[in-house]
Amino acid sequence: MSTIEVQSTRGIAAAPSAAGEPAPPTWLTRFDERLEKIGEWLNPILVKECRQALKSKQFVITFALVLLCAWLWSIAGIAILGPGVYYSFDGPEMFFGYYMILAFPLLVIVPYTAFRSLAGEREDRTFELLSITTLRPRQIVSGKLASAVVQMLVYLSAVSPCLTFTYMLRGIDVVSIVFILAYLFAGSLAFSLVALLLATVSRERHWQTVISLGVVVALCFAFFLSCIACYEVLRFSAFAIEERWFWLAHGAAATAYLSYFALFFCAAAAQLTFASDNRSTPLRICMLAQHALLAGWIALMVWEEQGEIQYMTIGVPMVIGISLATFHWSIMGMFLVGESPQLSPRIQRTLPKTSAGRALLSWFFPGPARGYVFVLANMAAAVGMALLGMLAWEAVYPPAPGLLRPVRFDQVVMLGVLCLGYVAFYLGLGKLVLAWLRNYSVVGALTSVLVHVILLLAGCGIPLVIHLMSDFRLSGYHLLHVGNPFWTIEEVVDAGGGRGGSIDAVSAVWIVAAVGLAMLVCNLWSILAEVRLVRAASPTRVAEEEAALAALHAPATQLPRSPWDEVE
Amino acid sequence: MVASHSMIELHRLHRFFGRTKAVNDVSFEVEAGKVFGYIGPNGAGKTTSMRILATLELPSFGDAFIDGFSVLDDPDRVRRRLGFMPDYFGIYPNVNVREYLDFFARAYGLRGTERTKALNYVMDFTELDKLALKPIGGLSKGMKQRLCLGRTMIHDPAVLILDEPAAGLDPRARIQLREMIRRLAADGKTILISSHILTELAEMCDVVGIIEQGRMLAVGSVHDIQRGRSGVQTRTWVRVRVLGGGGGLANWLAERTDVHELQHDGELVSFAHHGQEQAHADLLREMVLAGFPIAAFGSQTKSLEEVFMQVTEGLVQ
Repeated sequence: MSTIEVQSTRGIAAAPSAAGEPAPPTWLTRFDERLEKIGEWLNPILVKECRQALKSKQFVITFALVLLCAWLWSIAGIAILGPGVYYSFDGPEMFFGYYMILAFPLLVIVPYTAFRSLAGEREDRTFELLSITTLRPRQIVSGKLASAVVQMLVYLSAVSPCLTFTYMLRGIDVVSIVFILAYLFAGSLAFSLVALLLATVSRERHWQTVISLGVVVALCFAFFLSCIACYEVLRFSAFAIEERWFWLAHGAAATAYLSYFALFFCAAAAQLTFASDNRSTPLRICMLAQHALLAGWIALMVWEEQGEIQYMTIGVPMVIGISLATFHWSIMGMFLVGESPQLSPRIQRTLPKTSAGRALLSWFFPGPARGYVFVLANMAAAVGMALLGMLAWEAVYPPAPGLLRPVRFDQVVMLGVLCLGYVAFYLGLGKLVLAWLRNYSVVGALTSVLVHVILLLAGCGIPLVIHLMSDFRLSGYHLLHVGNPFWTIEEVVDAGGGRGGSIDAVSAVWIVAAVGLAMLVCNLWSILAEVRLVRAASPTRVAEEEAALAALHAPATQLPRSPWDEVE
Repeated sequence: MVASHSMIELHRLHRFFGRTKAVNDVSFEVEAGKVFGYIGPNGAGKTTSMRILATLELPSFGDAFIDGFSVLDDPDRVRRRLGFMPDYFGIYPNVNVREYLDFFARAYGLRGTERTKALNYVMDFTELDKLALKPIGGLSKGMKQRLCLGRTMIHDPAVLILDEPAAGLDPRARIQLREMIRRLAADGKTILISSHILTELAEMCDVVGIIEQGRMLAVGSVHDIQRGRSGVQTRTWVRVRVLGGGGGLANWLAERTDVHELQHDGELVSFAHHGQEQAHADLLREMVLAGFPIAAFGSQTKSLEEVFMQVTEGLVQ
């Protein structure tokens, strides 16, 4: 609603009646004013996008098509069912048809519109005008997302009468309808966020075209997969809400969804953030939260299943935890060590003041060396937690005599050392290569990922080529493959790390630990250089303004309210 | 706003694109309430330095300040004080004039009556009130330019940076825009404006700067630039009438190194003279001492366009 309309409405409300008395405000006027007040605090992007969408042909055509398809499917479905509509269990079939009608706009059109909305702003350079306003990057991303949510709700409102109709038919319950729609809604929101993130990746028109094509293909594929999933779920009616594991699994999935949503949201906002601003700290906090959630969920699952596990082994969940943590921090580390080592004066003004603060909190600030240490510290914490958890568990539930456990404590120790060593080595080497590359060119996040993938491929591929060209037997693990983390870890965990397994695997653990430590030492100088930075003083002009603002917001000195106050 | 510091300050600003030096060691200051004209051929580095001031580009070296705040370190504070009108429109489809301005008012954090007042003021100032409900796509170039000016000043910034605001406008729209800029200057706004229409800049600006190939060639008031007091060697056209014929004077002047383009026609001798007013006075004194019967001596100030053509070589990056 434009301000002009509101003004005119207010004008009518305040206009004197024929008798000369002001007309009493109608409920409609009051409701309109209330809406206007709410609208004041809505995200400006959301307001603008809704105004645009309501006038755009694309939205009108899509909405009309969704309505038309829903009506056509209703008529066709009833015609096919015939008299069976009164007694047969055909709700799932009808629901599946409506699902496809709703899923296409939600999983393809809405995310793609979000992508085009941001990509278009960058192409038409309206984003530049937007970026110099006082809107913050996260407001821009959340405005675009909120606009996507409004579109989803509009499409859902078009199909909701039909979905209610399927419940009237037999064969489908409310729980299934609610859960399937919730998955669809969550999927659409997640795809919209990823599409927004992809729209920020490049400003070049040719890359935008390539990404745009990739987004369309991926969204169509996701739509296809979601239809298959919906069909299977409806067929097997798999929502066992009375099961404890159902809620545990959904809780874990929901927290994983939310944590990755927050991570991608922060990443999209970081991509739009001014270069001298701190883009990294929110991302690092998200990564740490994900790490904590992973540890928490593994601990909860173990606790829930303690009756089962005490007869088996605690080692398996610990191996899963360490492996997931290694995967998580390797991926995140590739991005973190690709950051610029230069810390802008703006960020330096927010560095911790004390030495203790620097020792604890410096790692949350941008910089490749800080990122490297941040990853290693978290990996060490993951391994430490796993080992301590295992020791504590075995103290409470000592292994029964004669029980052969599939994963022993020493295997978990070796796995932890190996994972830590590989992460320290590959990220440390990648960091050194990137520092060298910075002498010749600008290094971005994608370059960093590419360098690390090449290093990993070289670490796995070169020994393999040498192996294939030599007289060694192809089948067995050899110390030559120490650069291959996948094979070495598999050898240690599966083959038993020297007890019945390859003796080379045990040597590999020592080698990887030594090389990882050596790489950490090689990076020590840059780590110290980044940690030594201390908080910079604010420029005089900034201090002046902050003092003026503080004075403006300072509580007024209490004036005496009576002569007795003055005496006191 | 009265500030103890300059409202706009560029300090040894550099911006490199590969090997191209788009802005090469540019420094100048603009005092509060002044209008600074930024002159230079296409590709001289005007737009790049303006974009750095608008926090859209990062300098390769040096810094720029708006109201004392660094564009590098305090972009959010700069943005609150700055209105930037780029050399493109930046319009949204399916939006009318009022909705467009309303969106930017919201984006600058204006709420409630404050926003309504700002909208009404800007629409009145830019004379867009009759077009409030007109879709932006249907606006003429002049109307769009007024709309962009409205967007630039919606949050009442103290500093306005206008990149070629009059480019492509017809004479009437240009005059309207000029009047608006004059009114903004009268309201105490500090304005940095670039334009190719130098006669208009000469009328509007208190200070001008001439830039070419990323380097600032001259900075000063229009008067100083025209009279060669801005650090660049300019030539002034001098005319002398000598009683009884100017042949002797022409021969005498021909031997001087500070005189060029000598012309002689009867009693009239005209030539281009290097230097400022004191140099002309010294020359006149020498002529009189040399015994020439000087009946009239006049120097003609060059127009900004002539100075621009003289100072610049039309080179681009």
